Amino acid sequence: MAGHLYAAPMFVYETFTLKNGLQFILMQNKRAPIVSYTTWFKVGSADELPGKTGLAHYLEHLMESALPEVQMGQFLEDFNSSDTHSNAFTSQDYTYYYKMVTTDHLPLLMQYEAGRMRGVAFNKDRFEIEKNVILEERLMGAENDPTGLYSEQFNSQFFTVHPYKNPIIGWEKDIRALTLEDIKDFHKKWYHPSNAFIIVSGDFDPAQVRTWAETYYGNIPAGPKVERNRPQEPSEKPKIEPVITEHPRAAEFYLEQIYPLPNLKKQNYQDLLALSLLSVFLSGDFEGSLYEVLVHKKKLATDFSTQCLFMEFLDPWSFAISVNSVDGSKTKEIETIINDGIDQIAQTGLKPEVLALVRRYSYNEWVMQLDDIYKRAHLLGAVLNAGLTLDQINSLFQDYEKVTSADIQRVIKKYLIKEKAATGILKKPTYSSAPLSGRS
Amino acid sequence: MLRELKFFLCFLFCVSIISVRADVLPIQSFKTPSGLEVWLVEDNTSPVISLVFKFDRAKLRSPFKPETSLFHSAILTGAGILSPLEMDRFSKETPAWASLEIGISQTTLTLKTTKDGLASSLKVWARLIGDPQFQKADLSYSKTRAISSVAYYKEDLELSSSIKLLQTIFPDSSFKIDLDKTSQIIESLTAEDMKKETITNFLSSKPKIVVVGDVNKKELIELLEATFGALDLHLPSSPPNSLNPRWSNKEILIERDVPQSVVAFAQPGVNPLSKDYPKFLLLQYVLYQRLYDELREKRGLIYSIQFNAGHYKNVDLLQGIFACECTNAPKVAKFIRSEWERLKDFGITQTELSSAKLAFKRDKILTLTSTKRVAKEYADPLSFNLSPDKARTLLETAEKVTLGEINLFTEEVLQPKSLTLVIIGRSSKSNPPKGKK
Repeated sequence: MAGHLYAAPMFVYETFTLKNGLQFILMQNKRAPIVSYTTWFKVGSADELPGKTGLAHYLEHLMESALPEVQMGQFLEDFNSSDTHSNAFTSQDYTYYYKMVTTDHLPLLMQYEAGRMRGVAFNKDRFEIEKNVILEERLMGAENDPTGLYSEQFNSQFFTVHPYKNPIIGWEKDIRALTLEDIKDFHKKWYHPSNAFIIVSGDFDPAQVRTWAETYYGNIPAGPKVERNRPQEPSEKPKIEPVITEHPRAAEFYLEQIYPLPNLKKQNYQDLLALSLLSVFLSGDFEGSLYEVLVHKKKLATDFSTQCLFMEFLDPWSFAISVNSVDGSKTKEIETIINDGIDQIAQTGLKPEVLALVRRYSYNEWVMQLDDIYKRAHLLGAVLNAGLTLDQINSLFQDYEKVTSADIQRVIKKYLIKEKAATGILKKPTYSSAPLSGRS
Repeated sequence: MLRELKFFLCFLFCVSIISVRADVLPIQSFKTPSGLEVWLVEDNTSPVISLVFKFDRAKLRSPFKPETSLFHSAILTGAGILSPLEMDRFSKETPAWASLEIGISQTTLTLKTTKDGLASSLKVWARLIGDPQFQKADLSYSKTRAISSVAYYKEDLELSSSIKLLQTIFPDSSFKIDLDKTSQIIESLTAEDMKKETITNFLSSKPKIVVVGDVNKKELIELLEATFGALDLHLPSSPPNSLNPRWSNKEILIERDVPQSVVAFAQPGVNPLSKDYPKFLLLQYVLYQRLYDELREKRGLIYSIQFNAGHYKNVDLLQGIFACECTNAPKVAKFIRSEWERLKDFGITQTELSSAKLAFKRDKILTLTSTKRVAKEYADPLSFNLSPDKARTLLETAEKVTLGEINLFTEEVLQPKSLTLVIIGRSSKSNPPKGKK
């Protein structure tokens, strides 16, 4: 039954690529006469050079209001400002621009966005004002937000050389020093058809979209080929001291155990899948899961979660274990339970029926998310930017079925190694606690 | 944890912008034999079905009361019918995702499930609402969850400013909350208290229901009648209490050592059943756009600003919230007041009106991206007793509003003397933030 269920592809799509390298991915849904149109550039904050952090995000801010370099007429400008819903997002690995329009406006939107891909005019005044807006955003998301501040501090120490060590929004000092020339150079280097793809999701005629794509985008130069030369973490990362962030508005005691992962996508994909299912198990409400023990049975934690970060990032990140507790006074006890729990699974594995349920939960999560035409585009775009292929995503649940309990036992022993784990803590200054030492 | 936090964020701004395009997605409006009012949008483009239930509460009061916090947690952790663990499993396995927003005057339950999970979702949730077994429940677990949520919203500046704003506007006891004592009160609450909360929050009215997804009218009526149609209601003998707002142009500063201030503000709003409501909707767009343009686009003083309307039986609010560097907060607050005066004196421009009309029309359709979004969009008009046709008329009425009409309305509705502001942050007399500029 499950096998049959998982045989259906997650994403039903058609795709084509223009001669200039710009790929289109089309996913239809005829619920309402609207279309989500997302343009993805394969560049993010991890592609910035030292001292220039925040550039990708700054550019994203300016791009939102930037007009095409070649004037396209007042009509199209008015259309863009009044008939679309728009937003944009920068991650470590990608930047995307989101527009929502009614189906009848799709050709206008494509014409306008193609004009912007051809080239945009940046404005010096806008650049200066936007700097203040970004600094306000930084205050909101980092300095004034305990969790944001913690993440910044932790990542800056967890990564030794990889640019994932920098915040997406950038360091305040760097943001202040960025110039309009920096923006223009960055744009020139990364924003090309050959370094982009577009996902169209909603109610449209695919044949028409193909025609419009050729007409509007077809003759834009492909742009230079760009290499992403990011410094990579050493295969043996040095263990770092616990990172402790104190913040007066930290609501609870928050503790993380972070196990660095090597690059598994190409050679050990099966290991990633096993770690991913292990993560769903540990933080799920299964008999014997750490969530069940810590939150429900022992009531030592108010929340417990785990994440195997492989669909979110292009380069290797980590297997993360996070615990929220009231005040951190039971840290040692929590640590013991986590370590013993993982050891237990490494010894005995998971029962087949539990593993089947883990897959089912994971599947349901995807089904529920894919209901939204915008989220569907967002999920697909993010996963593609993480270096996975459309085929890999569509066969994800069939691949999950191949993961055995023995695989899960094996990956625990191979990757969740005490000596390599980093510890992070976010707490009020008044709390005291003994930091985690990692898994034995 | 985040789920709970989001719940509080959600009910804070009981957004009630009427937004129906009955001509875009056909709505089947009907009553079940037991009298449940239902709007159904049949949609077979996805395996997901979304449902929104709106319950009128028996008492109008602050949603931040300790008993409300515990009730929210206790229901979502199974209410003694399922153990917290079983509830989690039910939610993920069925799947049956639920969110619960308890506002000042309404309780909103949103369910997201699949065609296969619809019957069991309705069955379980009708039991949780109609026959909770709090005496059998692990209330200690629910209390831990509720107290944990309180810890988060105590430290959340947006929530704190909004709680203070509500307390200032509604100074009576039903809005008095001492967040420092909330955890202690939650600990002392009993199963009996939760039973009373069930009646207050769920069983004082027949729910109004919007359903969007792959289910037909006949199937739906059968399922609803067997579940929510059979709820044992405790209809109150008298209407709920009225709220008594006290409006003033107070500006309250709550000193906190933070690098960025949060500013919440409110003034009287307009009721959805008022003939002026379409103008009020258009004015909200104008206010948002003007403040966004002036404060962010021209001056770079803020990152974002939110504008919302709250409708609570006899009281309607127009609310806003934004954050800015502490030293700029007084300047921005002053700017908002002066903009209120300017709009009253000089009105809005034709360009602003045209943009607002376009934005209004655009928003009604571009938000319909999922079954859940459609259901949520349609739930407010239904709960305001508007028929799909009436809702469409509203859109047409907004389209016909002239500049003269909206400027007369603007002069009347904007009330600088009733514009209450709450600022949480460092005052200009305090030391400047470390490391900034």
